[in-house]
Amino acid sequence: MINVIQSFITKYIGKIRGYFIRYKRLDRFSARFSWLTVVIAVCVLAIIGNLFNLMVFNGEKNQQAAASQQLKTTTIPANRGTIYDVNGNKLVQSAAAWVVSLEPKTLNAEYSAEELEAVCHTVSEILGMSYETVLSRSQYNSSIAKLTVKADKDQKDKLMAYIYRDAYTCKVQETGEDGKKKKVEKVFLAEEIGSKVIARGGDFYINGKYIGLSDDSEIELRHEEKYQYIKGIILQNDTNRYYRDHPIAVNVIGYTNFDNEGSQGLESYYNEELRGVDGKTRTAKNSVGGEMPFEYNDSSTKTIDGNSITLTIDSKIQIILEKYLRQAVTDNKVQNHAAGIIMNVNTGAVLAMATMPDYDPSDYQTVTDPVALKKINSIQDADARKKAVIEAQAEQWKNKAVNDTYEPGSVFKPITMSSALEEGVTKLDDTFVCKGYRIVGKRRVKCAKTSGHGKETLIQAMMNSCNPALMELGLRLGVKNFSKYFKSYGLTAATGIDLPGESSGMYHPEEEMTELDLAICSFGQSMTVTPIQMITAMSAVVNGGYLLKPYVVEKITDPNGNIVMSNQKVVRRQVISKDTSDKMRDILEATANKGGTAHNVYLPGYRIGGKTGTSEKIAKQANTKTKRKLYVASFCGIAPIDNPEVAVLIMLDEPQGTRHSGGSIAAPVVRGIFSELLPYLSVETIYSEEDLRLMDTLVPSVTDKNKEEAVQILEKKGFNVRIIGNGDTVTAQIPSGGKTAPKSCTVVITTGSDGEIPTVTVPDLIGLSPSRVAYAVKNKNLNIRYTGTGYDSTSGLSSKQDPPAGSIVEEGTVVTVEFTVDGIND
Amino acid sequence: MDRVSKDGDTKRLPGSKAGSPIRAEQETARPVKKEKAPLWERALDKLGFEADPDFRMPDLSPANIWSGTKSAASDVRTVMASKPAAYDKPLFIIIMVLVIVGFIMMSSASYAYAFNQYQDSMHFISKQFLYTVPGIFLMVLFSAISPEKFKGKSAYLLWIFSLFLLVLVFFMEKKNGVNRWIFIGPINFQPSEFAKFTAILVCATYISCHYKEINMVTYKSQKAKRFAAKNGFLKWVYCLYRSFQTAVWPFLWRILPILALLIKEPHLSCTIIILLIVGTMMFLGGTRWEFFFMLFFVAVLAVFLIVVWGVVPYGRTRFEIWMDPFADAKGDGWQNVQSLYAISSGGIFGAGFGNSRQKYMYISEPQNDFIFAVICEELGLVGAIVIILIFVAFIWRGFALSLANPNRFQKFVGIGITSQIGYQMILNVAVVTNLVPNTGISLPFFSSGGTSILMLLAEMGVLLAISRSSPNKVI
Repeated sequence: MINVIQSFITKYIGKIRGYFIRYKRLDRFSARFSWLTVVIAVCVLAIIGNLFNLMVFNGEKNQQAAASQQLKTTTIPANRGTIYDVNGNKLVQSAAAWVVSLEPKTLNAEYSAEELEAVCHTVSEILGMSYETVLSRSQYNSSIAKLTVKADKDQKDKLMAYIYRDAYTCKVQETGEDGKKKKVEKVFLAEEIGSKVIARGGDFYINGKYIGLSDDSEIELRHEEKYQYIKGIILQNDTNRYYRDHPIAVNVIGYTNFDNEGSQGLESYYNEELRGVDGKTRTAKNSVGGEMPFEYNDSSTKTIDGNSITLTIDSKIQIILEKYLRQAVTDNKVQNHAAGIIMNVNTGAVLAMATMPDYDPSDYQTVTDPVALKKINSIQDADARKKAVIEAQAEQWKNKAVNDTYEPGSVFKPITMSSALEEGVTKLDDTFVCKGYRIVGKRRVKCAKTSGHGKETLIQAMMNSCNPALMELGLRLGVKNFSKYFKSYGLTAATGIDLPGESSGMYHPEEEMTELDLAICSFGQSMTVTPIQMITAMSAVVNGGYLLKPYVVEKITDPNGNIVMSNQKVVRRQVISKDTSDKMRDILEATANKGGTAHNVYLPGYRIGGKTGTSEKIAKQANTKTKRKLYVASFCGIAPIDNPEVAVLIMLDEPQGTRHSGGSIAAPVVRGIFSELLPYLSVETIYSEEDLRLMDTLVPSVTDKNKEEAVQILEKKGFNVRIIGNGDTVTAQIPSGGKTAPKSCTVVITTGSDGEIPTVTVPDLIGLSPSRVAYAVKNKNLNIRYTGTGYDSTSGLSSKQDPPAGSIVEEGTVVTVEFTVDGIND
Repeated sequence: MDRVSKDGDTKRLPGSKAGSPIRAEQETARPVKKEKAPLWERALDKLGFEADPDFRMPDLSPANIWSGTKSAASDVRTVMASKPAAYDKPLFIIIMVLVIVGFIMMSSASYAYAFNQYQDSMHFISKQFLYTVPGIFLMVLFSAISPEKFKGKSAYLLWIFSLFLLVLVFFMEKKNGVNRWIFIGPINFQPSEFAKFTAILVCATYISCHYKEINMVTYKSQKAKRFAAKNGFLKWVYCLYRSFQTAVWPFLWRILPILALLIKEPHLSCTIIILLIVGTMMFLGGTRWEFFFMLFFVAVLAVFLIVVWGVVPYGRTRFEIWMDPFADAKGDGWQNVQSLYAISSGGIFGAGFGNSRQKYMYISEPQNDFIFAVICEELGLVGAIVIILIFVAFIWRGFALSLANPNRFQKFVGIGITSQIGYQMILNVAVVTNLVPNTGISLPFFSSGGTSILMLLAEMGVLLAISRSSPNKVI
């Protein structure tokens, strides 16, 4: 081995020596030339070696840097799908918007504190944001701070005009403070310097005036029409959600967040469908930002617009529901939101669904609930306040109809009763005796009416909402059967409605259920359900026993209009027989008729069934001080009860008005809803004689007619007539012609020129019994129009009046007074 | 000290040697071709180049150059006596390849920039074409003129004329902040390119007329001889003194006025190139090593002054950029960084002709100083090396022909012109790859520039004329 190396070395040493010897023999020119050759060869090898290094071995970093500066990825945002109501009205749609962001680093590097403030001020004015917000965003420790995602075209144009100016720029060499020479970019706004700009050699003139730049400066003046004068502000194209002027079904649809991603409700549940696919084109841009003629087809993707969703919700019905629910929340000082659902009982399609108070989806972070606001404002500590705001936001974004559970109370009773009827443990002519309580095991469970309902039939038990009777039914059913029907009605599992965050109530599992639990559960206490579970079960009770799967989305269509998915009626199972269901309908109609606890839902001309519910909430910690009990008032109405079409469930959580029972406060809401909903659904009206008597008729116009003739016309229509003045022709009448008035009205007419209809002050009619109201109205020579329920019984109490008390009206004016049945214990 | 008294090549010419025995064998063994000449040869015939049927590629292997040079001169003598030579075809082909490839690459590199600057993609291309065509005529013309015509008086006349032009630029309008051009109507002319050529001519004239003095120290008087004979050191000092008089100062005063005017312009790159060319000519002419060592120390001192004290404006900044161009990639380092990006983007086989992306306003002046970066990006490492090798072939051929030329003036003019191309190529590539600080040297035949291509082609004509007198039978 050593020998080999030795011989190797000696061989090459010999060779090298040979070169030296030959070199020595060269003449000077040749020797020098050989040196030159060596130098040039070394240089060439060095540059080639360096090229290898740059292009093969260590080129990757530079390559990527070059690619990243050349390639401009343009995102073409996909249009988020539109959400339609069942009739094709747009509830939410997307349209172009601009994202405005700040680059805090650039801003702080470019501008001094005062300049930055000025920039922030202008930007905040253009965008209509608060100056403080913009300023704080400009101090973010990030490369980009988003200001808004929804700048409209007008704002964008204004911002563009502010950022980009017509300017002249040039690079000038200047000596800095440290003596170093630097190239500085100088900018002259065209508006400031006029048009005459001359740059020649090192000299620079504006309007013939020498600006005085150093002699050795290199000037290359450029006129840029869109020079970015304000740096550090970025505008990006995007889309934004646009809602109706008064957004509806807010808690169902949800909102899209800052990144245009669905965050709550349907927007979140169907985010993937709605979103579409953002298109990306990778174009090569040159240093100035223009396009290079290269295509990057491999990496560009097409924009696919999002699919559109058609809801089962009908905006007209939704508006009706929201109107009444909103009113109910204010009237009854509901503390913990209210929920309402209107459902097609035969298909499970949700026609309307609302949570009140709702919020503005385009400003979803602002807390709108006055109760929550009051609470937040009372908190002094900033951190606690922030926490409270976050909690309140979470609360207001909730879809209470699906996300929240509650104790259904008496609304649950039809479930127990139908189960009992189905099992055959009771019959329609069964009788029960209510003593005001029932002893189960060792516990005494009270009825709502502590004095007891006495002897009652099955129907009466439901009409009275009698707890002991229902306990009896529950106990007769037994734990096993009760649990079977409870499960069968879908109350143990989520309904599977296509909305996010659906909860499912708590219940006593069959194996742990005691007799006491069973008894209490029989009238809907000690277990919880969601409103959607409740209304689904109630629909099953009345629609022939079919438990349906509720749904809010009718179909999903792609941008070309092809149906991607459609929901249809899904029958999960038949819970009770048609026969039992028929019986239950009768029972529920009776409950809503005179004498029933649900009578407040009564609407002349329509056959409505319903059940009220009031459940006591376990008092919250905060409310233990006031010792005030908290209730959930609810009502489930079905119409028309002989051939059910719609079910309405209203749930008011923690009403703190004068009344709290479902029959008093929730049933009138449902009546109001039905009064508009049923005509909209063109449900046939059949009036009873009593109804007809109270119904409005058109008052014929009798002015300028002969006195006798006028009286004859009016009396023919059934009106009473009171004549003022002693002329022969009628000069005025109240109620005036063309208006409607109840048939029992007295029409006041004046005759002759001297006759004038005297005015009276409308008395306060609220909180009075029907007879006292009638007396007060008669006394003032006014007419009365009865609305609501209970005006024909002693339990009725007036709750609303129009015109309001104290207003001055002419005699004969019709005063509308709404009555409700009071003192309902359900 | 014995080398001082050597008298160049004249003493050492054996004269009798005419090629090695092996070569003679080859010649005899080779059958004389009588068939039809290949197409390209016939084409050259038409152009007026004599096709020599006995022509064969000279042996330019390093070993031959290394060992055979001493016999080269003797070969030359023989050849000179035999026959007036034709143009050197390989050289002509290499030149034409450089001109055509250079024009094509310049077209590719410039159009995007031209469109951006002048809204006319053809701006540089048409300009370059308008100068290249007359340039080729000029080349043909100069190749027909005996290089001897440039010797002596005419060289000095041209030199004075170039000085005049260099003074004239200061009366012209500035462009980009420098006085570098003479504007005559639509034509603009850059005298510095011309000055390079005249510097070569005057220096070659001096070397050819004073070769003996440069290479051999003669005592001025007997007194001086006695003084120098006292000891070795004194003799060395005296030798340096005499050598400076004969081998340094004459060059200095011939180029200093040019350099001074160039620095005033300022045109640093041209200054450096002239220094390098003249330095090479002095080196081959026989100027003592000691002066080159001194020059080296002066250069180190100059770099030190520029970098540390910042004597020259921009000097320090440029040095800092060179050290780390990425430190200020968007500002001062932009040129270098973008150039490096382009080179690295090329990879091995490049993005393809015309597909450079960096030429879209990323590379500053892609048609000029940084054209090589575009070449690297478009043609890749392979293309870049091929182009470098074409230049190397040119240098090789140019030197070989110059060396083979028995006329010392022509020899040195040839060396000057060849080394000018070589240095410009090497420095340009080195700048583009950030091996040396940015000085703004153009790549011959590739960079756009009317005067540059015109002068280059004229010089190529001279080189071809030199090749005529070089024996193409030998070597």
